[in-house]
Amino acid sequence: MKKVLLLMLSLVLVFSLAACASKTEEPAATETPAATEEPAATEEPAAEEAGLTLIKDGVLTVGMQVDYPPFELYAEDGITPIGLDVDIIEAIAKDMGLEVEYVDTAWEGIFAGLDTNKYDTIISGVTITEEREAKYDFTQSYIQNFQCMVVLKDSDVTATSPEETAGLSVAYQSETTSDIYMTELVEGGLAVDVYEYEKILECFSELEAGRVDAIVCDSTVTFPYINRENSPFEIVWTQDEAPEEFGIMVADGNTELLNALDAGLTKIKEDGTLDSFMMKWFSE
Amino acid sequence: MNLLQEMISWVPSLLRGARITISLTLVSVAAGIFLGLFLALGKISKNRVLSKISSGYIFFFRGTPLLMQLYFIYYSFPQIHPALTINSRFMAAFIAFTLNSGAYSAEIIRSAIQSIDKGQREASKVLGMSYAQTMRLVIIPQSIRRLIPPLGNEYIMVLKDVSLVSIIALTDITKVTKSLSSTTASPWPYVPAMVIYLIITGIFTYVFNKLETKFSVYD
Repeated sequence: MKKVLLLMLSLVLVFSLAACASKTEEPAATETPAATEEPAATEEPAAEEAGLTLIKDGVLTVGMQVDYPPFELYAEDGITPIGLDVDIIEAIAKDMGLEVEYVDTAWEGIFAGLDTNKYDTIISGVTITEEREAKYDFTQSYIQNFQCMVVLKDSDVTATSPEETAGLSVAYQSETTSDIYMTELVEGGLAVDVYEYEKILECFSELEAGRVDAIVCDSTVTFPYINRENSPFEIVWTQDEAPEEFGIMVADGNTELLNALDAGLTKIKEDGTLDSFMMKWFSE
Repeated sequence: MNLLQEMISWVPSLLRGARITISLTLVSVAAGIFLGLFLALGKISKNRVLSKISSGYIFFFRGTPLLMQLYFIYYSFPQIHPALTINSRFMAAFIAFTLNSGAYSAEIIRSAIQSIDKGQREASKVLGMSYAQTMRLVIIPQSIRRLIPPLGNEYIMVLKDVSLVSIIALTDITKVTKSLSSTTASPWPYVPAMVIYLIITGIFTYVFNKLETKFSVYD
């Protein structure tokens, strides 16, 4: 009996060592079938590619938090990213003659991944801000966005802006421009209870469950939640005077990739592709 | 401000987080031990139904990830039925950690009870004591000495597991550290945070060593 146990234990040990040894370090990367179809059909891709240093040759490795509909979310199979950002980056990469691999990353600390070379670029509903520009480079903007406040339709919350939420509880996603906005209000003395969540989805769950009174978030991300059938949510405030711009982010100084992405963006803006993507994801 | 001064300036926020971490650890494991005692007795009981229920509970709560249990209790319950909504984040965490830690404590207690010499049970029987009396007066008191190191370990483990509560927006030490790190764009908040964790662990270890010495007077 003892010998059998000993044998079993050593087999388990051997198998687990073997499993560890054969597993190569991979981030949660998913390849998209669409990007592998044709090589670039446009005039300049070969020349642009020549100047690019990518983490993986022939592949644009993209960092993204795949939990921000309608910009990025998983398709029904649970593994393929879809969304506005996905469509944009794949269109650009296709013109550059590159495949796309996604690295699904937690939003907290996603930017640092550019510095540590986990991915070549980030497209993930990233607002262009001065602090971020100081450390990273952005392409031109591809969509506008506004801060907004969401409450439940049948709630008795009378606040019509974040500034009026004293005595209430407000949720937002951490490390977003909503976070910055609310933190400034709190530091300025507003007596509001704030709760930070790692995902915007959690904020909406909390609002629906009645655990918070309001959410401050991007107007663009509310789209799927507001337009859901029998949606319990409504927007009560939009920061119209201060539009935000989303851009594609690269590491500081990565000029060749930046220029290539910018050129790609310009092209899809000019030939109407971007408009068609917007129609696809933002009209109901 | 030099680095040391900056780190010291973060300590008050970290200590506020520590209050949540420590209190959640202490009450959850304590409640878990209480729950575990009943589960342990249930598992070794001659009553088949009781035994199966206890075994099943222990199997379930040890066999599924704590993160999943916490997430399910907090986020999924309201989606199943609004009445299941737990409004207090602390309460939801307390429930999840107690249910989980209880399963582990049950096994600790069970093995301590079963490790007591069979002769003790036989002697009690000869003296005419009932099963309940035997357990209460003879077996369990003797098993306490053997429970202390593994239960102390359970406290120390749960102390670290509590860091999971950042997913339900409860500000424990780890969540405070992550917030500080992102607002200051600096990796250094982790240093005083880890020091605080080590101090707490050190105190737990000291207390349990003292308890162990006290209870081993009879050995």
